[in-house]
Amino acid sequence: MTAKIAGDIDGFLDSSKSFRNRGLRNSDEPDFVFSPLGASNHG
Amino acid sequence: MVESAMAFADIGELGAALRARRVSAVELAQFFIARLELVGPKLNSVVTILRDRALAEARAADADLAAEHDRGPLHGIPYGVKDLLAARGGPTTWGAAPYRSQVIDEDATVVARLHDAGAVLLAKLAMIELAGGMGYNQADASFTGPCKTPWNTEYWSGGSSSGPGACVSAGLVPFAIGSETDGSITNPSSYCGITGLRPTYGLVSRHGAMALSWTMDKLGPMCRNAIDAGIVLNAIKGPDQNDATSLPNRMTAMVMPSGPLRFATVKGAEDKCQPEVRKNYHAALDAIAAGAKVTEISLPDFPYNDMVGIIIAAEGGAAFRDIIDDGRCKALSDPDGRRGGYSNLVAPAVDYVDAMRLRAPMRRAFEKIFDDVDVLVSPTFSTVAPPIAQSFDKSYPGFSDGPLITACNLVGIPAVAAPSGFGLHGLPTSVMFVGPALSEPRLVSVAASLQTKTDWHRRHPPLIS
Repeated sequence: MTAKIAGDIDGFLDSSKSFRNRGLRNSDEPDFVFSPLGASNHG
Repeated sequence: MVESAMAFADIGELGAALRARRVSAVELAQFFIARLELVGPKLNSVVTILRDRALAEARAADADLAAEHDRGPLHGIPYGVKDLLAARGGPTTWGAAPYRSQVIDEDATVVARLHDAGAVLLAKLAMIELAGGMGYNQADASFTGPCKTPWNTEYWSGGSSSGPGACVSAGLVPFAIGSETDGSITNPSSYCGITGLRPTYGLVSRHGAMALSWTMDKLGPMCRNAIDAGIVLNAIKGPDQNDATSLPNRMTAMVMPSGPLRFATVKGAEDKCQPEVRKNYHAALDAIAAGAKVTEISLPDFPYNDMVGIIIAAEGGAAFRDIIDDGRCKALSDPDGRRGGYSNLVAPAVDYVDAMRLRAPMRRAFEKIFDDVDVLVSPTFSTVAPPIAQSFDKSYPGFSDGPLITACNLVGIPAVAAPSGFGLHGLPTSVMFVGPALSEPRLVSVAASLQTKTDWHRRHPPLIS
């Protein structure tokens, strides 16, 4: 089982490559928002 | 109504029988509870029957109708929910052995809304443990055992909304509520031959639902036909102050396009499908788009599988950190699920953030597609249901699903999966309609149009009794 978990973790290295290769710019923000005001407005 | 007619009646037919006093809500509840008790164990599709609650809701529905207080199309209609939704009256197990005694003493928002609409909750239905969040590679990935499609009980129901798929298909409930993070409504709808609707992210409150991925989870109806799916969606949608991701009313105006619909297929979507799936898909496309313009689009180039993998690993790892840390995850049924959590705990945070950074440009790329297209059409899945006795990776070598379902789940846009015929082993096949955010009325209309021209949605498996 330990070997399989290690294999699973190795899998993350492969997916890391695809993110590195995307050429994201510093200004590309993640699509989640923290609000200092708490829950969003449900009007 | 004779037994088979009642078991497979749609919401409109049952509502008409109730209002004509041909049947009462209590009689309907008793009839479907008897079927859940008798047939549920044969399919491994039911977790808990909420008899007392159901009969109380049914008596109230009958009293309201007698007093001419009609709550609308769902008044007195029985239903079931995937057991990731909290509901008073029984445990909420999330399909997983570590939670089989868990009691959450409140109603999820969708359950409360269906109660207000007069619907009668009969049962909590089977699901893949933790909605598959720790990984799984076999049908036997729930403490209730492998859920079976009623079309051929040697084959899987699909998942992770396994029980809703099997129970609607087998005539054990008229409709059910499922959830989808990455295919969990569309997959069992396809394998069980029913109509499933995955709503726009945020359209339906998830308050009271198990969280697997806060940024991807959606709840939606699984029904006998598209019109029923629209009726149920209408009852459960809308803002909820208990769910910060639910969309406010001012953002949920749904508009039907004027003029003829513009359909498009997705390049490569049928390339690795079983021949029967492909043939049925083309027949469905011909039926809905006869005389209409059909173009072909290419999906934008994004690392869909890597993105969904890291997002579910990171968010699911956080959601279930407690049972991974204390080792209770080892009580899960699927060997992949028993170990999957451990690697999730070390999912690279930078990759997770980068995946989230790619979601905005991906959304913009899909918005651009929908400038020129109203509805994307595709086979829902590339194969019929896999056999229960084999691991999924060995079931149908050479066939594989394209990235459309994952891409659309990442973007948060809706889909309707509808039956398209039958394939290998007499098992159902399915066609899927996808539109931009908040295009649910359009998708329901297209699927309903298909269902006026075909009768696949009216076919049902032999009455198991």
